[in-house]
Amino acid sequence: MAGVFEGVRIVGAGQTVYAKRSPDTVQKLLYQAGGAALREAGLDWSRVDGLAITSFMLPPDNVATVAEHLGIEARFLFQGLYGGASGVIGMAHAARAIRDGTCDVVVVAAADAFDVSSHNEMLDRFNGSVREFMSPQGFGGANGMFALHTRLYMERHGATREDFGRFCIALRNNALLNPNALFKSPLTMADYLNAKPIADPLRLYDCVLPCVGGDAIVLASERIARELGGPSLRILASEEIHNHPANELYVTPGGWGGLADRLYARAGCGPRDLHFAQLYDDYPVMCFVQMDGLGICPPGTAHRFVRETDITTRGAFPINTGGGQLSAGQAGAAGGTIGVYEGVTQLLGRAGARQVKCKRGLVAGYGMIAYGRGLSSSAAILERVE
Amino acid sequence: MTTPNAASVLKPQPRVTELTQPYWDGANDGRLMIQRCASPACGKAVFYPRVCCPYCHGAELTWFRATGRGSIITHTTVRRAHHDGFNASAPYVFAAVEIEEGACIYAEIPGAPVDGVSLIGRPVLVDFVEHGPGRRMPVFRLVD
Repeated sequence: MAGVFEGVRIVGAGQTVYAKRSPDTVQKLLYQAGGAALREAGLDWSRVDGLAITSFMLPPDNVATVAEHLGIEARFLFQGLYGGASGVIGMAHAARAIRDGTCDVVVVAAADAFDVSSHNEMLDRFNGSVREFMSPQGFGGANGMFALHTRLYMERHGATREDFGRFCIALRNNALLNPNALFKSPLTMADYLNAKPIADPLRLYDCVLPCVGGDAIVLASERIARELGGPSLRILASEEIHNHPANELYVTPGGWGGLADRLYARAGCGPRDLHFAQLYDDYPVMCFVQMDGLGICPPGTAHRFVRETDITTRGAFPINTGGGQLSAGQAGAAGGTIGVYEGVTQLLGRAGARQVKCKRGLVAGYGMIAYGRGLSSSAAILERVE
Repeated sequence: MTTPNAASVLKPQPRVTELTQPYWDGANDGRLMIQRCASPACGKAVFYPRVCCPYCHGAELTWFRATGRGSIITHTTVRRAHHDGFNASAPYVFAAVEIEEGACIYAEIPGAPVDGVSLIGRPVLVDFVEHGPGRRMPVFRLVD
């Protein structure tokens, strides 16, 4: 299939252990995740001539100073400014740069070292509209903002707390097979339903735990991928959309509804041809919105889909096979790359105990929380090269 | 390290700019001031304050006093505040309100039931409460 990313391969993926606390700096986490991805591919940092980096805690440093720090002469740099949508977007930008002959090997990485208070402090000054017209009004942080979306989804479509619970429990089961995940014990429906209330209808296990970690993948030209000889993936399509639909805060399914047709047309396949989805799971409601928008189920029926479909690694349609942010943890901006890491790891056949049978899968991102919603949505379809 | 006394911590204050000054001056005077696109072909109400109309991209926006009537689009009961300044208020109801001129404003709904009963579609009316030194904040109250 002659795609828009002709001549580009994904050759490796790496992840740090996710931890509640760590003295590691962002630079160290990026080095660890990127290094792991390069080792897996059979490459090392001396071959890298491009970086796509996303990290909330990086400023006053930036992607150019990361190149300096790691001693890389770069022909291509990208810094993700779209929060959790940046992993997929950075991958696509890197792929275009390789396709155009700008560079040969790009590490796409994200990392942060967060806890609850640093997360709230960051969000409180995230952008002008939040700082002046949501935070002083008492929005309750990201939890409050997505509680508003959750209540609306329940009211419009008839989803219940148990439906979100089924989703979270399945992800926890997936996380138990991921040695890097933060959460190590199973979640029961009673645990989920009776957890500490945060912002109604959200309780504790609807909310990601800010933590420390990093994720990375490595892209290379087809020529280098052949030379390496290991398994590799192609990007069938990758799309991003921002502020869609403009001026409509509560239209579902939001950005993914605006990019899905283009995504599948360019990929030359449809949602039925996917073997898994790695969705952006800051809150379970956003996964429901992605499932609706990306055609994994008819619009407004994601809650019924999770009642009828096993989404664990053993199931008919696995979702967030590494546990996602909800059960592996949200390491700040790495939340937008954890799904990319997981999708690549699955398709390369390196997922160990949580490996699913797959040839083609979807990865999605979401971010840049602004006035009432995240502005940036992204999604890509990846396929193993046979 | 000591935990600051919740009641003594100031809530986050808006950083008022030249663009947003009319909104906050209006709130201090007990008026809900909103922008409207001056183009007759558009004329949409705009919030939060912008430099141009985000619907038609026209350059001219004028401030007008909204009626303050609206209805609840969706809501939550905040139990774990994002800022220590709100700890003393929690639990409280926070909502997206569609004002009758057609714009979305986020605000607390003081006095609304915090038990999770659905308030979607319920009519509300603006009020203004003390928020900090020299600062009043628009909130909405349920009306029946």
